[in-house]
This record gives sequence, structure tokens and C-alpha cells, in this order.
Amino acid sequence: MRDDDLIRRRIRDALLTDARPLPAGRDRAIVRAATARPRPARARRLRRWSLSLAAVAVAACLVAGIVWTRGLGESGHRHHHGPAPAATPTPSPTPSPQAATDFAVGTSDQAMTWYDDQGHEVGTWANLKGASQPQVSPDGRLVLGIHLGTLPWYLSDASGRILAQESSPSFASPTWAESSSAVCTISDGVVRAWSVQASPGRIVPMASMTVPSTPDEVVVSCDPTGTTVVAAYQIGGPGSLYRVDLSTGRLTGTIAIPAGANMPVSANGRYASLSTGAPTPSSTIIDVAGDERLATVPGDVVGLSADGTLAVYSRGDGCAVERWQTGQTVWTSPGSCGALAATLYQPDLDGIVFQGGPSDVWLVTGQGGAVNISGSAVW
Amino acid sequence: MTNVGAGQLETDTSVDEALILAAKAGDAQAFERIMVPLQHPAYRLAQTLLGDPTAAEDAVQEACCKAWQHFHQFRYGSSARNWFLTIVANQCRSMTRTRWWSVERRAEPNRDQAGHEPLLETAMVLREELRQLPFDQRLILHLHFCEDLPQEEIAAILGIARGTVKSRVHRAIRRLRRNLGPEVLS
Repeated sequence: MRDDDLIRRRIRDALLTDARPLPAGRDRAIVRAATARPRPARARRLRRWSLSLAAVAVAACLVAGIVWTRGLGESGHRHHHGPAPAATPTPSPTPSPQAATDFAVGTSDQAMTWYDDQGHEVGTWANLKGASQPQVSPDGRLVLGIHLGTLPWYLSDASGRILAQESSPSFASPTWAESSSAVCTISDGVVRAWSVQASPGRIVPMASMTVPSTPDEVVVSCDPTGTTVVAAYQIGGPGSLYRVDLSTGRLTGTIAIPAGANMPVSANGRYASLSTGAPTPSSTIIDVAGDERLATVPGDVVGLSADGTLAVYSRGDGCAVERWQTGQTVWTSPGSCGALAATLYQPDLDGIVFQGGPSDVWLVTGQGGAVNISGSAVW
Repeated sequence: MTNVGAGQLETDTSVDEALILAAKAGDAQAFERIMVPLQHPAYRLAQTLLGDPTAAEDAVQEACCKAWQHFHQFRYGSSARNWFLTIVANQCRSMTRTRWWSVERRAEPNRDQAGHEPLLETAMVLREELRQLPFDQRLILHLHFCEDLPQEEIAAILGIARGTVKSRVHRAIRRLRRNLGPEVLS
């Protein structure tokens, strides 16, 4: 019992030693900033539900018709969870995917440096102060930021110059596409893609689609053109992962997320990894579109490359990068294996950047080349 | 040592039905009365998960916006605190998944502890090891040891079985002991 008390006290002290109290008055200010944002009207929610229910009814009729005409034996077995999404695809200026050869690394002096695919320094950010939730583009050249609790979001370059602003409440927690020319958002169940341009500075809505809404909704991958988007719900608890094709307004995959699971998804939205944990940690690579188990990796996968073919995972003797389709280990390190930091999006070079130890960032390519950027810390 | 609110559990609201119904209907003041007391445990949790006070404030702010947007989904009879801490934890998780949500800023060591070197060293080593734990293990240790939540409530927040909470806490402690040596946690 005394041992338990000691453990409790030491862990509590260690976790809370540097914790600061919320400044006086901030509790109320936070809540007021939240209520200052418009809330979706009840009528709109009902309309969305009606659309979902109508879509379910139509889908049910179609399925019934197919089953009736083809016979039960030929019916598909793919299962979807939750109400069918209501699609509202809109004509869009599709960004052309570009190779993102650079990536950015945050450093401890509150600056951010970006590197080329050889690990050579290209440039430095120093204007992130004052930005809340700064989201630097994968190529390190643009940042989306917001001032605490207020709209609009702004797009700026490394010099701090504001290029564009977006004040729509639906522009929430943007996730960059690997091309750095689009972002995806989800707000109140509406998945949206936005084209982002630096010159002239523009943030333009492209297409949207409605899926079930929960407070935990988050975009986990946004493909280079902002067409295929994967949104997840109740990450860490039982929930669902939805893959949507915004160009057609179709739901192209649904996967149930087990309780407590963390599922890294490749940037192209094609593959996900599910750790299976005890007694021996291992991960299953899943085809998101087909909800099909493709391979098993002997460790906890922390991230997948942009095309999903490389997996970074922790195993008993350190950290490894593996081409899971062939089982080929392309790189290993005795050190620890931290979170994914970036992926290189290029047709002829698959690379993956991740945190190693506290001051180690590794860039590992599919060809086995590895560059250590020491003294830097990321994300 | 500044143990902010350690062990001080804000009471989870004897929030009455009328207040909840009003907040569900869009009454900002009712929502404020429910949510203001929950900001402090939420901020503590976010600091543990993100390791940075500024980012933690961002996370709580965004979580509060989501709570407001989705308050119609809150069920009367369930715990507002647990519901909100779930949103905060998921917000922190999504922020750590998004690259470059922030640059890393490590807190300065607390100078008040000068003169207690062995203790300080132990605490620093333990703190560093806690930072290296996976997100979910940090989350569960915080809820268990810092907020003193019963296993049933932790299970409700994480959406897992009570037995799983127990086994995960043990697994996290076993990992700390393995990496730090038995003397640090015994």
C-alpha cells in the first residue's frame, strides 16, 4: 500500500511539476470565445439527418433491388457502419499535385527549419510567435495560423507576410495535403477540401461531403489533390474511420476503430495500421477502401510513408523502417522510435521523417538512405 | 514544486437538468456555468499530453468550441466532466498527429528545488521517461494519478473496459520501472 502511495506521489509530481495553473479569468474567457462562435442551427442538423436517412433509404432500396435481381449469393459483404453520408460535391479548382521535396523541423529556439530530401537546410521560420495552432505546410513554405479562440485563419509565408485569410467557421483544424497546395477540414460532420495558393494568396473551398458528426471528428489524411480524405471519430475509443472521395461524393471505405486503438493512416488515404498490442506488440496493415487485412508488422507502427508502402515501427530491439509488402527491412536503429514527423511526396523517392530520441530526427528513404538531423526536435 | 491542483478534483457538477436543457438549446450562459469549472482539469490534462502550456491552452480552447458545437449530443445523466475530458484528450491527440502544430518548448527546471539534488534528479529522470511514453499511457496515468479518477470513470472517458484500465496502468508502470530501474518507483 505504501509502495502504491509512493508511486502515485512520484508520478503525480513528475507529471505536474511544470504544470501551470490557468491564468486568472482564462477559464471564463475560453468558454466565452467558444460560445462566440456560431452554433449549427437545429434545423440544419435535422436537415442533415434527414439527408442521411434519405440516403440510407435510397441505398437500402438499391441494395434490395440488387439482391432481388442477382440473388442473395452474389451480394457483396463489405460492411459500413453508421448512417450513409450525404454528399454535396461541388465543382472545384483542383490543385495540381507537386513534388514536395522539402520538409520542416521545429527546433528548440522556437524557430522552424526546413530541409531538402538530402537533409540539407533550406530555410528557417522565425515568425511563429503569436500564432495559435500554427500548421506549417509539408514543404515548409507556408503556415496557417489562428489567433487564440478567434477567427479568421490566416495564411502567411516565412517572412510573416499575410497572404490570405479565411473566416468561415467550417475552416477548422486544417490538415495539409502532402502537395502543400490543399488542406482538408472537418467541422460539424462536413468534410471539406480547400485549395491553398501562395501567389496570389487564396484559400478556395473545393468540395464537401457530410458524414456523421461527433465532437472527436478529425481529418487524419488528405491526399495530394484534396480528393481522398480520411476522417476519424473517437480516436482512442471505439469509433469509425471514414474514407471519402470528394470528387464523386462517395464513401469509399469504412473501418471500425477498436477501443484504445491508434490508427496511423497513409497520406494518400489508402492504408492504415492497427496495433494489436499484448502479449507481443504487432501491427496489421489494412486496406482502408476494402477493410482488408494485408500484412502484419512485428511491432507498433508509428507512421506510414505518403504512399503507405513504408512503415516505421518500434520493436523490442529498437526502431525499424520496413517495406511491409515484401517484408524487407530497409533501416534499423537501436534507439527509440518516436512519432512520425513528415513524409516526402515524390514519385521516385519515398521517404519518411520521424522523431528518434529526444534530440534525434531521422530522414529515411525507401532505398535505405538515412540522414540524422541531431539537436532538433519536432512537432 | 508547483503541484497545480494535484489531487484536487473539481466536483463533477451536480449540474441540474434545467441547466443542461438550456445549454442544449443554445443558452451561452448555461453552457458557461457548466463548462467554466471544467477548464482547470482540462488544462492540466492538456499540459500532460502536450508538454507545453501554450499548446495546452489552444487544445482546451478548441475542445471547448467543439463542446459548444456538439452540446446537443451530451446526454443528461452522464458526466459533463468526463465528456469534456474525452474531447480534450482527442483534441490533444489530433494536434500531435498534425505535423508542426507547434515547436517543441521544454519547460525550464523548477529552481525552487535547488538543494534537493537527488530528489530533483529522480523527478527529472522520471519526467523525461514519462514524456517518452506513448500518448495513451500518459493519458491514463494522468487520469489515474493526477485527477484521482476511479477506474470506472477512466474507462468511460477512454471507451474501454474497467479491467483494461487496470492492466494499462500496470503496463505503463512496468515500462517505467523497466526503463528507469526499480529504485525510481519503489
